[in-house]
Amino acid sequence: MAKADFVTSIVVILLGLGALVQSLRMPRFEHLQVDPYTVPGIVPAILGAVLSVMGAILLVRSILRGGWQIKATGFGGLIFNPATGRLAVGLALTLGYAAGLVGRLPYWLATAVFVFLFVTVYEWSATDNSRRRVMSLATALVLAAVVAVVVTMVFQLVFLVRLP
Amino acid sequence: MQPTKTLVLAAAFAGLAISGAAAEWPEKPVTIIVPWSAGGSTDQVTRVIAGELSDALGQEFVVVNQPGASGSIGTKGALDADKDGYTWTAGAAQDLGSYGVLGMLETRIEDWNLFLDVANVSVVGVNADAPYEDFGQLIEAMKASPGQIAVATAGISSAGHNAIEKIKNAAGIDYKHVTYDGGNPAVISTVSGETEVTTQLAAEQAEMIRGGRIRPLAVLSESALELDGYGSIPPVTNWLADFKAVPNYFGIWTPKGVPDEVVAKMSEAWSTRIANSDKLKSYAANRGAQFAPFSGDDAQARVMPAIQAFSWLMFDAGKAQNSPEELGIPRP
Amino acid sequence: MLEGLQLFADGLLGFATPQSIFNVLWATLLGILVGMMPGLTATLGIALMTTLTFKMAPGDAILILICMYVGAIYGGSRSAILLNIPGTPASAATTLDGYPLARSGEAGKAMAIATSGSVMGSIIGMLLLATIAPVLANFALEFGAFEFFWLAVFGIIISGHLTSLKDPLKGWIAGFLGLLAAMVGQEGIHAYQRFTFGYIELGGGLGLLPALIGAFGFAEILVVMTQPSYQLVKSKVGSVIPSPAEVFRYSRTIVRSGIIGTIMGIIPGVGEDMGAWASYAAARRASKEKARFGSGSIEGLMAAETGNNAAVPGAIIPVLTLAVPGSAPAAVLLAAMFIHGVRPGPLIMIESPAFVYEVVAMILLATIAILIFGLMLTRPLLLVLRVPRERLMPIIFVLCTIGAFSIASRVFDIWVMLFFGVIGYAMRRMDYPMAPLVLGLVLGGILDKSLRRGLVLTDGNLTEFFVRPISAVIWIASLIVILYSVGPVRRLFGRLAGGPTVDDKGAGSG
Repeated sequence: MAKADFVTSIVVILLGLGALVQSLRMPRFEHLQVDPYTVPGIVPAILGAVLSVMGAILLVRSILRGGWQIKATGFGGLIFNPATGRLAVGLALTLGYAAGLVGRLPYWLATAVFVFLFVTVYEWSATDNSRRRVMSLATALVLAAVVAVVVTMVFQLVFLVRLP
Repeated sequence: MQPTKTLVLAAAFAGLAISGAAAEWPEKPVTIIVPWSAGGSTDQVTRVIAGELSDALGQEFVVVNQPGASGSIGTKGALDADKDGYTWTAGAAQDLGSYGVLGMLETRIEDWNLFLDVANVSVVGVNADAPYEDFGQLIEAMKASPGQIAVATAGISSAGHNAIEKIKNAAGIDYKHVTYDGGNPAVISTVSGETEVTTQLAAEQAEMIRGGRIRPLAVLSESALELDGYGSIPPVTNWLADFKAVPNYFGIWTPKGVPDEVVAKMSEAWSTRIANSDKLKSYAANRGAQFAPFSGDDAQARVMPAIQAFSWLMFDAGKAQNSPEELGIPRP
Repeated sequence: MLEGLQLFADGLLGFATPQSIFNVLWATLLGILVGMMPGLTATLGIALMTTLTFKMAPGDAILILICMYVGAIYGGSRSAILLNIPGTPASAATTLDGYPLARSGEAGKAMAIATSGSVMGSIIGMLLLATIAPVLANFALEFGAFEFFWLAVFGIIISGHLTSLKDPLKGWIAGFLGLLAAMVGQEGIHAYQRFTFGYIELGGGLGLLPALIGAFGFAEILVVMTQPSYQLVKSKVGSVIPSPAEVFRYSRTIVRSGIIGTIMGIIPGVGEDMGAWASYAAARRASKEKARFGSGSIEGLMAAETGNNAAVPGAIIPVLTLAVPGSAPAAVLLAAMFIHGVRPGPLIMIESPAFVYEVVAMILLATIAILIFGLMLTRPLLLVLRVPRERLMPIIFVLCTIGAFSIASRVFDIWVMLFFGVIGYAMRRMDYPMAPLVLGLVLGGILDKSLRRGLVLTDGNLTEFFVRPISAVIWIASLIVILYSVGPVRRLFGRLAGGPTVDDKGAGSG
């Protein structure tokens, strides 16, 4: 964790300082004769400062624990890691659905496509038995249809939400 | 077998989607966007209206809260929605008419079909233990120690702020402005003694006045306000003779451009159902508001004075981005 | 007192009709379902039912709303335990011990404990509501700008400490990031757009619920899907009904959490979530088995669930006696009462004392209903754990997406959900807890406005912040938590207490 702390502490410090600088540049509305204690920048400036200080403490601590050292294997290992691959697949599926399909396709169709793809992508690679794959495809199809219909119905008819 | 089932369902859904085109309004639930949080004064009255309309027009009127940016975010949602009569919004006409002046939203009051429900007035209320027995004494105290007496409002450009600013101009006093997240929290701060005075709406002070926690000194109107279970609150004009008070109308509205049929049906529902609604009448009487079921040109004419007064107050104080003149709002 | 009992009995008898009982059952069940689904919260559920019950008689309508409220706050614990996703913000503390219990095969027991905690919490809150409502209501008025400021600080400090016991610094960083995120958008005094960088949608700020759904729901999906293999949990059967002996064993925790939860409920604007956190913190301090907290402590789970449900009657106390809502769902409940012509407020004990006891009876009915459904639904819900992740996760993600959207029918909220999901995933991988971040989003606005309001009221004099009695209690408590997490100070406390096992003995005696 020392290395993660090293990286995140720098992010936190930069974020805190950024917020501090932005806050100090916020208007003070002197020309409107407002109470100086109500200006918008006070609290974000304090929060930015506190965050930078906490980030600095974390930075010092992570350096003491050797988090600043960069190992040669670190980067390559991160990219060609099976966990990273699984994360990429997961992100592609979920973001593709929520940020891509929803709103472009009719809601029920988008949902059915997503559920079908999600189940199929993960279950296809989990086995090479073709019989199992067919079963999994069939399940995915049924699940997709049921989820699409039930969610659409419940939110549209019971919760009266106008679907995207 | 499974794919067939899916196909049938898909076809059923497609049918559902297509049938949404024609037929008579309203043939599916209608959304009313309340651009303030749930439980506030706009929300309360709009839910009464939504219930009455659901009954009268035979379709559910669904209230959706989209708070933020003094109501301009939710209002923008209604402005940008399809002009099919299925999206409405609600609030105070004074806010709707001044978004353009304040530079929050490009819209004018004439761009909307207005359906008003109640008119609210501001009341000057003080903590029950405060030494001021009438409005005159409060003005004297504010003159004696300018900028020291804390006045609670729901924030800049709120009804309460508008009220105390007008009093400031008319009586030549100065005060300490303390802002809260809404009318009710502002009133509570006066009840608890954190602030001495509040100038929020009568609706927001009604319970505390009845409960003896707040002493009402004056109502910002030209005639006294009769509050159920309390009695009469004297008008501010008893002390400031040339004070111009304008009522602040609340209602629901939808942008112009929706089918004529929608406006016609709503107008009919307004004059037959809302104008005779016992629920709305008793709600108004309870909350110290005036029952005001107006629509059409009548409504446009009624809301204009408050918009004029507020827009120019903001413009003269240097707080407006656009000149009211250019937006067709003449100086009162 | 006796008169009150009579009125309570009358109220209860008034609801002894098939119609009322039917209403209690379906409204509570719907409430539990709403609470279970991420994105649908008690506030949303009550607002929705207010419209749908408009035409009913006031008594029936308010009964349904209260059942919805109690059911939803309870229902949030189901998804918190089973999926590590709090169904409503109130159940964030429930995940800390509930989910570890479920992963070790004790999901049935965890749900049973949560049910008994919720029921006991409701009953304690209800008793306090019935007996000392007027006195407690005035307590709410003691909280002004100064107290709210410290309460917000305290919330971040304890939740940061509790969710990251090994390294509170990271919990606090997460909390302050949440506070900073709450600054985005139009601020509450001058309507100035902070940190929006010209982007209009940001003017309304980052929504709490989309952030919650993202940081817990979406992030959890990513965590589960990136694990190489995911062992399905075999839950022990036969432990789905809480044993009275076990409940009795934690009676001190229950009573303490019930009282703390009720008090948090009473304080306006601070709701069920703080009720759970504060009870959890207190339970940990008093516990003999501190080490188990965060890895499956029955006591911790009991405290969190008792605390959040006790906050429900707590939040109703100021609604009835001051017409001031104690929490967000209570605000909608108050609005519904006004709409139905009931006039809660300072006069209610004089004008219509019967109504106060009717509300007490309604809470009792809702509590009985959650007990019934809690026990009935436990077994079916355990099936959720037997669904493989490849099939369960897409369904949950669909619910997260539609849940984020349906709060205000805004596509932008889906983007906020996704953003917090990705950030939340990254932060979790680096051992940052999510709960303080979300609590920071809740408390940021309170902190901001209270500090500035306090400075205006005192013309910039800071001493008021420190010397007012309730303020002093809260800031000193926060300071103790911070100092205690600094190694050398803790050892000093330990020496003063005279105990060798510093971590277990606590600073309280020092």
